[in-house]
Amino acid sequence: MKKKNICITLMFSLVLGLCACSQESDSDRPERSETEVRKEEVFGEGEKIKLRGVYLNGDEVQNDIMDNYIKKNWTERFPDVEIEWEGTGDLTNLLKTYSATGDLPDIWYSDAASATAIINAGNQLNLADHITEDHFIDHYVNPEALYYSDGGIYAVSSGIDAFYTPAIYYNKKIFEQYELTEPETYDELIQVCQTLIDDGITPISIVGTTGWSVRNFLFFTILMNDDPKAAQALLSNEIDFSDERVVNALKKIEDMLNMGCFPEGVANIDFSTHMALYAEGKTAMIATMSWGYPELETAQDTGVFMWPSSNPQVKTGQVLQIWGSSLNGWAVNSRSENRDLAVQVAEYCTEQEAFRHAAQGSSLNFKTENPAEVTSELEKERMAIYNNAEQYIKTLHLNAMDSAVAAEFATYTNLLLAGDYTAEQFVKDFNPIWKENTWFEK
Amino acid sequence: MNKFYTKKGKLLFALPGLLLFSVFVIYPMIPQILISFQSHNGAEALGYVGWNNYTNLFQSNVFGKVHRNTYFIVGCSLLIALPVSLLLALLLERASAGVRTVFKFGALFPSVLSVTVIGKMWAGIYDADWGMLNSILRGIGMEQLTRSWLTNADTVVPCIAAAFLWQYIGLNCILFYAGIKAIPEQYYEAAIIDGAGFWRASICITIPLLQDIIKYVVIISTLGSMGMYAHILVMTAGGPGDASRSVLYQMYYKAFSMSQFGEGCAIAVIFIIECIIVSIIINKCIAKEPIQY
Repeated sequence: MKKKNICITLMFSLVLGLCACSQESDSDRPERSETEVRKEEVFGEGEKIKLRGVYLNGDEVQNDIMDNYIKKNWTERFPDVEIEWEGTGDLTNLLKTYSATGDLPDIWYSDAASATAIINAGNQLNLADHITEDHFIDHYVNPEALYYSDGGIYAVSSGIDAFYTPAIYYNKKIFEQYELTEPETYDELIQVCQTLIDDGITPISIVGTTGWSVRNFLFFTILMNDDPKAAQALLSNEIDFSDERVVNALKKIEDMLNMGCFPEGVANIDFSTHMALYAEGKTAMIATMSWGYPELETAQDTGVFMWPSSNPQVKTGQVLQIWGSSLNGWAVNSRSENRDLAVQVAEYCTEQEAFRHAAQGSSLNFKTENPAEVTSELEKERMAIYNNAEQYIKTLHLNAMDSAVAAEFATYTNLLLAGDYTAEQFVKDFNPIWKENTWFEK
Repeated sequence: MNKFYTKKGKLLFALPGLLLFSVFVIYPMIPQILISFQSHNGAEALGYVGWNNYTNLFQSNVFGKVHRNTYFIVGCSLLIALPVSLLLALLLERASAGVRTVFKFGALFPSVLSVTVIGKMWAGIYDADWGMLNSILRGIGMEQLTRSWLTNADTVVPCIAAAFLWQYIGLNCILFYAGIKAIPEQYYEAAIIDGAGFWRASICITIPLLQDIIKYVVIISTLGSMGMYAHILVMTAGGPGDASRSVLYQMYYKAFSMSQFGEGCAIAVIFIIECIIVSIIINKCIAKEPIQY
């Protein structure tokens, strides 16, 4: 009897739980392509349509876009629509969790790290037909940049990412004090570092936690400045990490670490610390992504140069790594009950994002009327180098690695920065993981 | 009155709690167990793989390493933090009222601080360049002992353990102190008449009568240490490499960083079993029967 009672109780609670967590199946859901029809059917006149959205609130720029552009102009554009925004700094994990639990919002800011899994699960809408039909795609200078490798468009963005590059920013005062000039070759960079080390100054600030700098740009930039073809071949999976050119690029990082080019304990230096080290004048240079320039420019009299070439055949600045992926941008839930409206919202968010960047004078793939001029001399200098480059290569981990390989790449690059771990060991440990990469399986 | 004490009556009273427990504890475990037998990328299930997720874990070196790290911290918590907390509580009981007030505030302060604050603070203390630890070592002429504490695979786990224990020693001490205050004064008066000193009274009266509190503190300390995650995330993000990951951190890494939810859930299932076993052992070993004087 006791067992029977417990069984009944458990059965009852399980049924309750299953009912609470169940979701409507596709076959049960009526076609709702016309937003107005939906509005009249469900809410009746005078009631607002409710949507959910997730955005990235990782930094001041993202917050500025959301608060001073998207939210500010919302009522004017969508007077009958109410949207519940959720901001997050951990976009990847939040979206994966929502996708797994069938709780994805109507629109969200997609990132490459989580997008593939969500697309494969059929939850991220292919926007290609929608934005072609309503001519939104005509706003782009280069619409090809929006297409994912399967021919679909899963996210729309202002396209600022392609104008972000890694760069080395340097403290002009320190360079003047020690009579240093901008290095034009890798050997000259090493000489500059040696001079600074001899004078007790830490040369270059980078991020070491989760191997951020090495994973995001340092390794790949060194490789492409040694041999652009090798970088392109690695990006398209034609070579692996055992390739001699790849090993040499990793060895350069190992050599610089052993030489003392990076701060002590660099493997545990996070993003804010690496910025602070430069801003407070504790390092003479900082190797970082170009989106951080305003803070650096405010803190120090700063100059910029690109990672120097280590090959006489390759001119410094000739080949640049560009940020981003076609999967980064505003995305729409393919199962949203207000799909057409959600597409309009994604387009609106993209426009607002573009207006914000254009007002700052940033270059964009998305065309805007009367964009402002770049006011920062530092950014003008970098953009001049950018515009003179001959080849732009996409970021490795965003465009050639699945989640598992990207995570392990971060782990091993962090280990490389911790010292006592050689480039050869890195290749021995990481290359089998790279060979298990599912990114290129189509 | 007696009719409420039948089996049916007991079940009736237990039903609301049982229902809540089933819905919020048992039910969420079921999909987790199912996913642990699947290949799952976080967004969708890619098919059943039998015991593969479990065999992969047991064959992995990292799985052993994360267990060593976790149980090292549990060991430190039980063998260092608990005796220190108890000793502090015993001393506190004999301290003046002013000292007690200051100590109680100071002891509780770390436990109410955010883990992020504590993690950042201790990461600062351990910083290789300007950290307090290395500065002290340099100041007292022991420069040869300075190192980059959080990027050295040999020192990183003890360093994180120290930060974790620092946070909870005070709280444990206050719990012990509350238990000591509940012991009737007459026992101590009788002991003094019999000539017992501080140590004798502590060993023969205080500690035996604190068994229930000790059991409670041992359980929360053990399970709290086993579930350590946030300190690692803030202080080292599991690095250098995978050197400072705990079991829970590895679960997070597998599931969310690598999108291998199947293996992540398998770690969770193993972890739940470990926690149940540890709880049973503690229950069996400490305070089986309440002590009556």
